[in-house]
Amino acid sequence: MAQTVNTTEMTVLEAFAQVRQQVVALCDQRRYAAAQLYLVGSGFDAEDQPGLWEYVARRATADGTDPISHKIRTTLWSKGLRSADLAIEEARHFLDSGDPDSAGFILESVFGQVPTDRDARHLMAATLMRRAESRQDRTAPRTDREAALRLAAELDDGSIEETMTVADLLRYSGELAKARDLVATARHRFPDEMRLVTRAARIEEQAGDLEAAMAHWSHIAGHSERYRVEALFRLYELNERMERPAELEAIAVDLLAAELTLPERMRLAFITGRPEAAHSLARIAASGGSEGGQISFEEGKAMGALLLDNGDIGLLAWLRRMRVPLGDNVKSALTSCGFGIRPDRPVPGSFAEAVQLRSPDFMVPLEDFLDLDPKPAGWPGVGKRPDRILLVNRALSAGGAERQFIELVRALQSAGYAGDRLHVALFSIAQDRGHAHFLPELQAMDVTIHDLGTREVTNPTIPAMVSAATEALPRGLRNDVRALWHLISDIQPQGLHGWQDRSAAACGLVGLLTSIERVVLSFRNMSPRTRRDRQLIMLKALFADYARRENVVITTNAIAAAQDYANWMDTDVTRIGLLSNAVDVARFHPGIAADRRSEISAERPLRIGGIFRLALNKRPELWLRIVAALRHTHGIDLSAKIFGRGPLEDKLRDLANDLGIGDLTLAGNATTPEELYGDMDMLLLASRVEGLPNVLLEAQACGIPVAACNVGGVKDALLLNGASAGLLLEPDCSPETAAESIALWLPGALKAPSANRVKFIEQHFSTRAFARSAMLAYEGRISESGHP
Amino acid sequence: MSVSDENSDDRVIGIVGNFTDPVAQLLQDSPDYGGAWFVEVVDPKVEAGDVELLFVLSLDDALAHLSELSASGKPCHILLRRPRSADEIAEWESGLRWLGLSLNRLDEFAPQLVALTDVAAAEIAPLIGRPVTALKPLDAVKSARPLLPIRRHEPVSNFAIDRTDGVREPRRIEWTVLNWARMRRLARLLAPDAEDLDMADVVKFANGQDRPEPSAARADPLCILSVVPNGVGLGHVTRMMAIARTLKERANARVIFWSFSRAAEVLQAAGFEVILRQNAVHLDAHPPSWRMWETHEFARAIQHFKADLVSNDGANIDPFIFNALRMPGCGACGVLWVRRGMLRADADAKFLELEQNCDLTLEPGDLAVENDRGPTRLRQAKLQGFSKRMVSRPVTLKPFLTPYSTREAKRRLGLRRGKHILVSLGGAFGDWDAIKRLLEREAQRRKIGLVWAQSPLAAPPSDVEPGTLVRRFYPLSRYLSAFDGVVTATGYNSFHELMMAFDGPVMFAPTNFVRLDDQVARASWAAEQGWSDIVLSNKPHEHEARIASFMQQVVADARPVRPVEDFGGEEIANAILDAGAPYQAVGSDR
Repeated sequence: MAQTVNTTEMTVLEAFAQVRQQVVALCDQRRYAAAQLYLVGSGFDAEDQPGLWEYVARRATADGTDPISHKIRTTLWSKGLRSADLAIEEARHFLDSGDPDSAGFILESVFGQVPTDRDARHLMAATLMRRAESRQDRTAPRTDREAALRLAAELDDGSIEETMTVADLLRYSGELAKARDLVATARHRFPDEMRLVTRAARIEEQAGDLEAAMAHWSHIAGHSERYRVEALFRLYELNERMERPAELEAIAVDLLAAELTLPERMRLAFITGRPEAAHSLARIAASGGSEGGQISFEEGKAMGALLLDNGDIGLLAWLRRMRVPLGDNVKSALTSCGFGIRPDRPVPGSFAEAVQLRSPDFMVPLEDFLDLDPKPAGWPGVGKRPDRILLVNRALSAGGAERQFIELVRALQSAGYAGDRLHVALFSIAQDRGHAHFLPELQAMDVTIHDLGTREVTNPTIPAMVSAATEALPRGLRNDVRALWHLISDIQPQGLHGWQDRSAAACGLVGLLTSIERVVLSFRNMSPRTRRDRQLIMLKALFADYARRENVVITTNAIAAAQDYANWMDTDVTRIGLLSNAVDVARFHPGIAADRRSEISAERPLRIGGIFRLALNKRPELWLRIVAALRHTHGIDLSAKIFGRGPLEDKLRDLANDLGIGDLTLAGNATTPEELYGDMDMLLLASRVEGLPNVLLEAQACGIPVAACNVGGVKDALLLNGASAGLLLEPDCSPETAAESIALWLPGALKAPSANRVKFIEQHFSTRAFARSAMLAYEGRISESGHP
Repeated sequence: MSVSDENSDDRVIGIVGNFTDPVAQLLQDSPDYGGAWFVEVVDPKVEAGDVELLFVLSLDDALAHLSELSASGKPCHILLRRPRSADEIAEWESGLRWLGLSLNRLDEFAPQLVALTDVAAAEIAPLIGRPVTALKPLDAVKSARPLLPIRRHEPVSNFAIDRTDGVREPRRIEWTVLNWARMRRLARLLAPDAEDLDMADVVKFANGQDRPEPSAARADPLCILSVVPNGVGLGHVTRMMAIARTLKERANARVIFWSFSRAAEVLQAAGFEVILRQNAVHLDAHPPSWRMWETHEFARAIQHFKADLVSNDGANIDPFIFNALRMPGCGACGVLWVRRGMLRADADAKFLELEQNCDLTLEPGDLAVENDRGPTRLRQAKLQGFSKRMVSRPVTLKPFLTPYSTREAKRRLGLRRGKHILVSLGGAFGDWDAIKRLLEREAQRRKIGLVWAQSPLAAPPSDVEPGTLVRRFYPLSRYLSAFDGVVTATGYNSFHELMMAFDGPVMFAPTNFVRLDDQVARASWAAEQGWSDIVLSNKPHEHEARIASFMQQVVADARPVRPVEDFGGEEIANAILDAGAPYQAVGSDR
């Protein structure tokens, strides 16, 4: 133990020298705790001689003894001694220990909001980034835009790390152009730095320029051994979005041949839709690790997260039993669900048994899982209209279902729901991600809008029951349910309406957790099985459970879709009501097309239009071949135009040339009715899968003849009787047979009165009819809502 | 005795994939792979050392382990299967293409690609761009069997068994409980789901193909691996020894005991082969971990001894037995469940559902069956599977033991002249001390010696009062002539040995400590028939008079009436041999 220095018998200077000597000696012996105690007893407190204290702290930090240096820094800080070095060290300490808020406070106290010191600025950027990442309710971090811009403005020739962090801050705050510029400039300074290319690729991904993103990732895959695997994974995911099977195959084979870690192999298995391969790899983890080595915490954590997101809750319980290290979220999920705790939830007895135990399947019936008292039969009764309704949708992207969501809001307003009685929640309306296409239209209406992606939650604590219900869900749904639960707890609606599958999945669960009287789940397409949507197929048990509950009304927008969902969910089709589409006949009307079809003659060609995404499901290739057959086989003088964008755009141009319709116009996205239908004589749709296509309704509302393959809800969307009827083509028709049918049907259809089509739409797809159906759903009168 | 590696010369095949996959289970009957030892290979790179061949069960297993399979340097067969539903077709096709392309890159790795059927091979080969050969079909099972439909997503199958009396009996089974090699011996399989092409292939492979000549039955005698649980008394051991003796006499059967009980000594002393095991409690082990270990050990034993049947005596059967039977190489083995009746009326009937795992449920007859109000008599399993049910005559060791003469028995027990009463009370008989005092007082009054029986499994007592006679002996029936009366609890064994082999007065003091055994019902029935006296723990006020009356009978050398019943050894042996027959008759080696 250090001796107290008697300062009365020697000068202060001598005493200081003696203390200093002793402190240095103790530090040389790496006895930092002793040095700190010596200082405490020496009488030279932190206020008088901060230099000595800082010296011990520095030496301890340099030697990796952070707890002691942190303790000393805390002492100095509490005495008001706030030097730049101390602040930087302390901020670094808080960042490393996962406390970005404290780090930010320290930095701001000493350096202000925009530090001029380079190290402080970098730490500030990292702090902001960590803050954003630590908000677990978000699917992607959202950073503070103002702070990001301030830091970016100060950044001139920052280090590579600082540049990357600021670039991340910018892109997560939606400042994609600035982020792009920052990275581009930095690439000139650091031309070999592959991490900048990964930033560039991610920025392009976020901006929706997938081609540019893929070019960056391809560059990385070809030039960086270190980042090659990640680049291949990204390329796989992007090519999947771009629906390019040949490229997907090549990348999958590259990844299969690459030297991957066990978690990477599992990731490959899951993204390629091969869960059984992932299970085969989980066996290795359960048996201790690959090549006889132990599973590290990082590996276990990564695999645990993958398995949790893919519903393999049984395997996780098994892995925990086999003492495989797992992340906190997985352990928490297993504990919340009561594995090995509740008598009715034993840990699986074998690997094979564990594989069978899937989430959310193991959670149904939900009432039993959550130990909820059953509601009395018939609850909540029929005919009662909810006073306040919350409508929930994923986003407001440019899509048919989103447009119908807006129509629903319009219809409800016409039925008297407005202001505080009608709330709209969206999981994301991020502009940079294209989620705000219909936002201005929605904002123009008298409704309360909640952005669940950025909404501040005053009390983020959730009850144990909600934890149990959410923690074992796939990540996306887990976050959705939590965000929605907080909102519903605040606004307490009596009616909850989930629009499209993913929102419906969240609403069904939150509706149960919050005992909302009426829950309406509206599916707007064919079932996930028909659409081959793996993430949604996983949720089948959950949807089937919702369909069993008396207060839940399920609707589709077409009869075929109702049957398809009923088959998929193993439920009776009579449980599913009809909430069709609505067309705003004030915007889509025959005046747009100005009945110029009478002009079709030798003077001008027939104008065939298509409006669809240029993706495989829409079969644009078939569409082109039908048009080519009409021109070349049936001698119809025509001009063809497609509105839409998508991954197949380039291929279609080439194909059009090959087919002799090089004059095809690919018009991109148009939004106004006039642009779309103003000069169209006939609409053709050749999709493989459809819900209830808006374009068929809109075209008919404009009086335009329509022909479409009989898939999904197409039949429901067409006027089928009389001379003005639309043409139903076989679902798997050949171009030749389709063209022949069109050639026979078209002359009569062009001559027939367009008023019949308009009347059909007004009768069945008006805003009023839409509102009426919605009200029936809210009142639980499903049998009257026109079910199949 | 322990399970050694006697068969270490045998071929070892490493299974990559789900070890209890139907195809893995069927391989033991395959002309290509039969007779081998099958081991689970989780990581081919590390574990392939001891195996001669790696057999990969599916496309996904191959894709998951491609690099390790290649690095293992072992011959490798990859089984490619058709999709299980229309939803899987796209992934299936792409997976096949990926595997084909990946193999093209691996010059030195040339696995043999195999399929379950010719049709599957023909369909898969063009997709993967490589030759695919069909596995050689299994030999079809010749015997008449019921038809069992298998639907992947319906775990319970309904089928019907044609009984010998012409009645068609509906049955149900969770078909996943059976090893497919066993299932094909018990039923003709059917795959009704037209979309599930893999199941159609597996079923076709399992049903096999007729060969011109019928396969010859194996000449080896029946071999039974008999599990002895760690029970309270010697009942399980005694019954199984009686059955083993019968089978030995009747068909020279080999019975090997897998014993968790300390009765192993008794079994060994009686000349049986015994493998002494420790359960989770003995080892202070986590039960699931112990069960996994035991499963593998038991599976090795089944393969090593080429057991035709596994037997278990007791109301519950530990899952390790069924888990082991589902292991590849263990499918030519049935299950004999010896299940005593006379369970208490409040016993949970759920255990009856274990019947579906069994080939024969043998209930040793109980003389007091008329008083049986338990689930084995009044309830029926919903899932009976293929199990036949037989209620035999009572099972005791008596036919195999020559009783000692009175003189010899007394000499062996060290008893002097005079009258002696054997007292064997269960530990949970109400006020034990009170009844002990009463017995001692009444016996002393009549100068009758009391001999307190002690279980041979228990340690010798250390706190015996001077003058108290305590004896450990087994089996009871050989020594009965030494006694003039018996006071005892009413377990199945004591009850039947006394009723069938002792002619002196007996007083039953039933205990219901054993949750599943209705001793009161058994003792009451005997009392009602005049075979014995009874004292009930819940009627202490009657004890003094009843004990006095019983002692008086002993003094008077009374000879109460007794039932006339004999041991049904022949019928039991026949039923067990029938149950084992399907597993002896089929298979390339097993």
